Amino acid sequence: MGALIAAEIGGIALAALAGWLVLLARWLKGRPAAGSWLAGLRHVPRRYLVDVHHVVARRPAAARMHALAAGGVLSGAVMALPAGLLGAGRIVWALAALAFGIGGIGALLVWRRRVPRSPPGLSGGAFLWLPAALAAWCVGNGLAALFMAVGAPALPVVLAVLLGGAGGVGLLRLVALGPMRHALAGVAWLAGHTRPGRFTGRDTALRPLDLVAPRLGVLVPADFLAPELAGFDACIQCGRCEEACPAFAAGQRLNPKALIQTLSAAMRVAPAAYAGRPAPGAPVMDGKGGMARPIVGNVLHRDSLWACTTCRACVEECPMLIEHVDAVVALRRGQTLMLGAVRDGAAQALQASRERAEPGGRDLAARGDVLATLDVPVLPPGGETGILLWLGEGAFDARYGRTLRALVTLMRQAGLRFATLGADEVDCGDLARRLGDEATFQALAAEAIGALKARRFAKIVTADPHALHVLRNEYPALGGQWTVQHHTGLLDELVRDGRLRLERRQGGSVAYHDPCYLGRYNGEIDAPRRLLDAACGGRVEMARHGMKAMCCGGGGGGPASDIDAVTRIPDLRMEQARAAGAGVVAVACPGCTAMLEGVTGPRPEVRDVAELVLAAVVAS
Amino acid sequence: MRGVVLLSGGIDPVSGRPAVPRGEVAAIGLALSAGGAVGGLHVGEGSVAQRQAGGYGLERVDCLRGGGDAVAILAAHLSAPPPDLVLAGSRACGGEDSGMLPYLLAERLGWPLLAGVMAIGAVADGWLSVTIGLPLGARQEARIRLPCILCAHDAAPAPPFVFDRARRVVVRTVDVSDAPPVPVVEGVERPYRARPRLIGSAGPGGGGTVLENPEPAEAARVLLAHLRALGMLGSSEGASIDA
Repeated sequence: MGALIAAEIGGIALAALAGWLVLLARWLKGRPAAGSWLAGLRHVPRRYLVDVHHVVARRPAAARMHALAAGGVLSGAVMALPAGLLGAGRIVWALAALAFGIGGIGALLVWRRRVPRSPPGLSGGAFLWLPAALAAWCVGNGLAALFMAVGAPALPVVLAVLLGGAGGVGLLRLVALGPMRHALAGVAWLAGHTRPGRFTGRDTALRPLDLVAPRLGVLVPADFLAPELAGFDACIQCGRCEEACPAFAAGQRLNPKALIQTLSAAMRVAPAAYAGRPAPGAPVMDGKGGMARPIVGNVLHRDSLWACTTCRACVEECPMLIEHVDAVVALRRGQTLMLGAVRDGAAQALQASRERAEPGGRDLAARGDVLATLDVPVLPPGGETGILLWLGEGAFDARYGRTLRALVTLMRQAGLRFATLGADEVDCGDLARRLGDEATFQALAAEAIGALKARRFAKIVTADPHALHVLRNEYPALGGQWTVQHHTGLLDELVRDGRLRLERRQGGSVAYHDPCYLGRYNGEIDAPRRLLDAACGGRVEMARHGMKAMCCGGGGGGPASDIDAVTRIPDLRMEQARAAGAGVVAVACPGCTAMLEGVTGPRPEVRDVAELVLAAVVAS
Repeated sequence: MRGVVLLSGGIDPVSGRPAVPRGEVAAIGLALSAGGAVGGLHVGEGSVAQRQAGGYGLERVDCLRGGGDAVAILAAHLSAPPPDLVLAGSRACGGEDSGMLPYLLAERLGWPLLAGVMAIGAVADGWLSVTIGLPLGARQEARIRLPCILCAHDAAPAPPFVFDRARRVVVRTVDVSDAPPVPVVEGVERPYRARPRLIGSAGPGGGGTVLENPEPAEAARVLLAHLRALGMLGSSEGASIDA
């Protein structure tokens, strides 16, 4: 009888392995990844049990469900298989029965997720069969093991094995239909994850593109890296990404979950049906899939691509650690570099970036005009200073000029020695890079790195988190390595060192809006809050803050691409600030300032952290 | 149809960096819409701007290297064998570029020229139908005999810039024999002279008279009367014309 159980479980396991190899063969049609995929398998247990679990456990009920179901299904099989093959005592069978029993409880919890009411973020369709298949596998095999443990006659064991086998076949079928595919694809994705730096720290910089490669970016599924394709298949459709996505919330034609599912389906000529929420208002794209068939305009609507603000909220939420933003940028690179198919506004910004080294098309010499009254020195080539102040794109905006003047005034009060690049400061290339124009980005980066290398300074300070991210994290791959600090980090340092003394000002309550490129991209969420605590009376937190903060809608070329929406992203964010009872929204980014100041009607005031600190500073 | 797009040096007026002028991008778009092979032609050393022009759809750019008058060099290059269509922008943006060049070239080649072209239509019996853009969005249909020179309207549809095309464009340097230098026009310095105040004397509203198919003499009389009313002609002048 033991052999029968072993044959059933072993057969299902072998079939699963065969299914995995079929999937692997498809993924390997993608471009080869840099490191060894096979060698990455040794990292899988740790990445799975620590990193994946860390994200899953943000929702304890989901973590419990998954631990019980996955743990029971696997550990029961792992015990029962050798027990059946080699023969084992009753205690081993009893333990296997217990493990399957735990799996059965897990199956019950899987069922409870969608009953009585299914949360809107979860997919339906084949997922509705998942609890039944899991239950059949666990109950059937669990009963078989129990019968072996108590020494029951043959007939009940055979019947139980039949039930377990039916469950196993069901689970295999659900691999093909999607719900169980994450188990097989997840192993491959975790082994070959394209951002291994995430498991040891933070890894958010886009990778440079080789501009002489025949195909730039992604046009067809085979242009993705092989592990990335496994990543798309690893999506479990939990919908956490779409709940976090600002573009989805605003009714733009993007749903990160639908996007990943579309990319997974794009690999297949006859994909399984998708039963989750689609991108809002996007027309149905019913083109044929295939490894060599175009993705955008065929199976994926163009607007889905340009609606992304690259805020990384989806990546932050994804329990399978999928890199949505990398996929979006890879697709944008294909559209921009190979086809020139960008939105009109974005095309103008890219042309200006190319021809004027400034996406707004303005004169580089006018960048410092907002600081004219403060007489900030311009550092000539060969010159030396303490801090190089990188003004960024925001300097052309009169409103943001107030922030920069506040910052310069504070730096003066603290007695710092600093200068700007003057007309030699070109755009850092953030916008071009996020819009997929890697060629323009690399040209701008080379010029900026050249200008910086011609001067000597201790560190770069900028008030623009986008410039901060590019200078700090993306220039090193192109040969420029400097200490780069955000202005909130610098001011925090000055206050803690006692070089700036603050006296708390009483006023309305202040809510800090985390810029994506400072928070999620660089993990800096504490310094601005310390400053606000020292400078303002009451600080409140919006429901979404810190690493979970919602984007203002200004990143990733969103405003330049101008995608149709039901509502505006900054309006949603301002509503969240109102709900938190904030009288002032503190910002730390020119993009956020412009987006949130663009909210019409009565609303909380928008002030940069530097402005609030300046209002609180007292002579030392 | 074989089209050639004339490319100027291309300097962005704000940044001073190489850039394809808007009108030349439109010219490339018109050339592509006409179908057939489209090449670029530039007199002088090739620069980044010529390579960028490739990004808008040119497969090949020939840079003619030779001293002297660019018009003469272009005329010599274009006469053997002549293309069907020569396109240019309508305004130059830097260096020694000049918006006069297509006109001088047309005069030299004896070809017809149309400026402000918004779209190119079909060819019939050696005549090309084109759409001209007029102020306030008005359009005018016209026909022009081939071969000809067309100056693109700045607002003609521009093709998208594609980096992949820009990196593939073949930029060829062709050594050509020197042409005679451009005759240097010496300026004459003379004291400032107050010009008649046209706008002031014309007054608001302008007015004017519309004549339908007038007799030449009648038309001349009305014109002269108008100019006298504006104070641009003395009352004695033109009396003989009246007679």
